[in-house]
Amino acid sequence: MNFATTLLTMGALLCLPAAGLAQTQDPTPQPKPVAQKETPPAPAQQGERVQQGEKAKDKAGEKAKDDCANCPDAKAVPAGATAKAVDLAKGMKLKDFTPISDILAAPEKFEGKRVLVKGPAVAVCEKRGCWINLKSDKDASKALRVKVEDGEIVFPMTVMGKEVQAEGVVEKLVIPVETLREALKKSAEAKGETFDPASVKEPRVVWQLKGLGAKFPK
Amino acid sequence: MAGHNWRWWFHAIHRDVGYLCVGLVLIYSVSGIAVNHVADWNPNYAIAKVNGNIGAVAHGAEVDDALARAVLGRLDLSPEYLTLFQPGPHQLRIVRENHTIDVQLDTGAVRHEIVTPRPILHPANYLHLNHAKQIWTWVADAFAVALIVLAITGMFLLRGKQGITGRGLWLTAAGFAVPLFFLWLYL
Repeated sequence: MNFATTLLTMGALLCLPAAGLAQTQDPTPQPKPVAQKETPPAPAQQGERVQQGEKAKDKAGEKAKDDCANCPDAKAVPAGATAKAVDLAKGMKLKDFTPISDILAAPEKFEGKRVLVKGPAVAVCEKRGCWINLKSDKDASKALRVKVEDGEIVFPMTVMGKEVQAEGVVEKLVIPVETLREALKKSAEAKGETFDPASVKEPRVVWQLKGLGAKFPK
Repeated sequence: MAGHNWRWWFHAIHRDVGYLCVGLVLIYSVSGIAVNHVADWNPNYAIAKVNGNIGAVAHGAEVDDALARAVLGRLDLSPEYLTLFQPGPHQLRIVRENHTIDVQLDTGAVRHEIVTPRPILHPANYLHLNHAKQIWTWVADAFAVALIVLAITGMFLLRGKQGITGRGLWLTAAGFAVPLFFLWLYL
């Protein structure tokens, strides 16, 4: 009995770091047979959850982040003044919201500034919950990405469509051509579309919010 | 209680802490296996992706409630939704509760994505990966300390050939050798 327990616990000890070493890769979706109708799942519980960034504990998560196919910007290079360190322990402090439309209209004005935004989630990182796209308050075709450190804040997929509040620093990222090609290739494969790598000739500039804290419904 | 030697105490501590830890050991172990293979599957959610076609949908430059209702009507779904998004010029995304519908308006191609949290793994991963933060962080720390206590007391439960001076020593050494070997191999 005790020997078995010891084996179990030793096994569990080995499992803990191993979990952190997991690498993320977007699998190619397997489309199911054509269907027009299905029953949606039961509604989620109502309530509100607050998550605030804390000091990273999972060092191996850095490696996993680099391999996150859902997060093409993970390999992006922070541009200029935004490459400063962010204290994740500070979480949410601001009270006044900045409209997402204002940021998207003139992101340069907000570069390096800490802002609080809110909007419905229109896309979420499937594997790690490490990013979320919040819809603009004015234009239904625009959204602001909020990227957080892996494991610091985790956006559940069930938050899709619900209003999310996020606080962070506006930053400019430059996605290298190779990274962009890889991301677009995987995206096209997932959708069953063709992709020509030669069509990507220049790095892409992306504006996003480096998330420090978030508040969203359960 | 008085007069018991240290081995008796190790037995008692190992036994009781072991009982206390069974639940969390199972949760962390099962979750550990699940998230180790995150490259191959989604350990938190079952995501059903279903394709269909509703025929081309007349639309303007912007998406609106009327367009969403028309699409939902063709899909024979109730008109409720949480929000709309327009990923591209001829695209409409309708977000419902755990159900996202992407429509290519000019061709009528529809892609449903239905998300269902996995019943056991989702809460297990939530705890294991410490998404809860707050007080759970301290509970998880206490559990880690308990595992250390179990590992140390476990080594000294038996005496003689089966104990740490005999077979136990070799098995313990083998246990250390496994991670050391892979560190040597990969680093």
